[in-house]
Amino acid sequence: MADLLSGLAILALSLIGWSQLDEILDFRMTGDVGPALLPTVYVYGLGVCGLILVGVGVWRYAHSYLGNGGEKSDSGLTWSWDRLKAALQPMVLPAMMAATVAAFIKVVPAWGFLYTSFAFLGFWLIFFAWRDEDRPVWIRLVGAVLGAAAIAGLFYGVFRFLIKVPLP
Amino acid sequence: MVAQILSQAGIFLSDPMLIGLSVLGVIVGIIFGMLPGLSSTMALAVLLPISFTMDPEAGITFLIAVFSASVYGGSLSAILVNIPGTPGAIVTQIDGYPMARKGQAGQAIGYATLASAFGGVFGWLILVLFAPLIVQVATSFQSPDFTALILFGLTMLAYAAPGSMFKGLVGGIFGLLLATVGLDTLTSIPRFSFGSTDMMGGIGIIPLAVGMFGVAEVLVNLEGGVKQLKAVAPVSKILDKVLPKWRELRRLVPIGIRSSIIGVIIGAIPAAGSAIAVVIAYAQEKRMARRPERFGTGIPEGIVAPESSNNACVGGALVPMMTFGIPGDTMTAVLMGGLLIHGLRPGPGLFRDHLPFVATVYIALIFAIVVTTLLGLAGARLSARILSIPKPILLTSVMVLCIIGSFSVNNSIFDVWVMLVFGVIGYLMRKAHFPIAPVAFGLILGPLFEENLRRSLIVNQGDWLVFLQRPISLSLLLISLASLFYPVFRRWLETRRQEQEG
Repeated sequence: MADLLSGLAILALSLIGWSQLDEILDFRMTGDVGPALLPTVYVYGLGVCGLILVGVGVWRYAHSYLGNGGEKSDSGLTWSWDRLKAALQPMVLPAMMAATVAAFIKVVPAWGFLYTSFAFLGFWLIFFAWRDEDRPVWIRLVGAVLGAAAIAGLFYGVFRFLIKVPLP
Repeated sequence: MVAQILSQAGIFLSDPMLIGLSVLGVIVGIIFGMLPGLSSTMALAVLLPISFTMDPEAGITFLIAVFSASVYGGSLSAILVNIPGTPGAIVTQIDGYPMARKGQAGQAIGYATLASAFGGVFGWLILVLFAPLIVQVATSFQSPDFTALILFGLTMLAYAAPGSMFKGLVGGIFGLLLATVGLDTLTSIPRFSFGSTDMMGGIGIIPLAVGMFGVAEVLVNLEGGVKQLKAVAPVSKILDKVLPKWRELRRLVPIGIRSSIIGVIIGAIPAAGSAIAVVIAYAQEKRMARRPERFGTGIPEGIVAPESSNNACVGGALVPMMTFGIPGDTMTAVLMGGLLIHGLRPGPGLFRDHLPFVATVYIALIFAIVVTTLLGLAGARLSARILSIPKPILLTSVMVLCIIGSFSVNNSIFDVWVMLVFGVIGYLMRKAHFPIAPVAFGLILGPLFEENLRRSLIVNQGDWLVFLQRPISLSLLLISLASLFYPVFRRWLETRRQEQEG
């Protein structure tokens, strides 16, 4: 399934690339192959690789559907809600992290790095501490807030004042 | 020259100021190298103004220590948290990080430190003994030869990547395509920019590498859920022995020599850079290995090859700078700027008029290598302790560090978006078992390849035969071709041998 999906994604990428090639195909200087040659080669190369992956994915999928002995088996094609849920479950936390980083980038110009990183770290450290049931709630929460403040302050201090990175 | 170096060594070692500056430079260099986004070039650029206030010997001692140590520092974060601090360390993490995950972080750092020292000393010896000869070879490289060299590096990409060669190839082409985003360098035509002015500047290697390695690693770690994050590796498991056994080191010496030779030669070629050297060195060792499938699983060979090659590049890059005044890469360009500000113009005149200063540069470099090695080995256990930080704190801090690292390259929020997008892409690629390193290398080598290919064709009125007419480019093309077919030939040989035995 991974091959099929990645093959389709690569095909989509090469199609997007291909749709953009028109604008650059005509420009070239004397003796120059032009700015379109290599992008064209790469786009077509990716397209071919995508097709191969889709082919392999379909073959594997069909193979698992038919089974080794040529008899039909439902294990390859049946996608129940439970199986989909089980496949997506591990991606929930990564998706949450990606969403909070996106929120970080969106608000950092307005809030500034120090407050945004404190909010980001605070959110995650409180989230993790909340689920840590070994210690009393108040210790976990105070520890998370203090930890977030310390890390945000340390990073801001080091990068803004020592290394002179102009953080917003 | 040797007598001059010896006499200068005495002066250097008796000056506490120079020794102190070298140690300080090494510490600062390692820290800059370790932090993702803060490249060696940036370290030199930031610290260059500080050196203006010093006398030339002190200034160059400090800058050379920063330069040399930052190249090594990149490997530490690659091994410990799977974020290469410098582009040259991208290959180191292929085996370094799996080794750390196996509970051998200390040993992985030990191998990286000793290999860096070996490569550094090798590069230094070549710089001192054979600089004129190397310069002769390096300066005979023209655009067609560069094109063939980069093509050779590209053919090695798919082979160097762990896992499926086909998926490595797909990753490489993806990286090459990404390298064409932005304004074309020769015609200024925008490509794949979708009308965005930010995209016209292209996709930077640092945001991409920080995203694909750092962010993706954080996302992968979060997959196990909160309960798994609580499981912190015991410190005793992390702090394994640092120094490898003598027998093991002896076995790795030939790898160090081969990789250092590759590093010195490629480092001396102006603008070639360490990225090509590390890929070629790693792929070369993987190809020569009896069991190439072990590469990528966390073996010392996979650390020694890129690290010795990467650090040998330092000596190599100084060769054309010192002898001809041609900087080999951006780092030596900044270093050269430091010399020019002090009224010292690198080139033949420097050797004629300021020989003691040249000797000081040589001594400063070898001293910095020694200090880096000692601090690297002594601090290995301390560095490895990073892995014992509770994962919720480590992962969230690494994420903030990734954001700062991506932002600090151009002080641009757009770069942070690029980091996030490629972080998600890197995560999905890892889920689908695609190697990530070829994407980063495709992005690094792509612009070099295109620029040299097109320059060669413009100069030769579009004649493609130019690549076959020059001995260097022809040899490199033949080697590339041989490298491509070598795995097929090797498999055929093995099948035939098995058939004969059976």
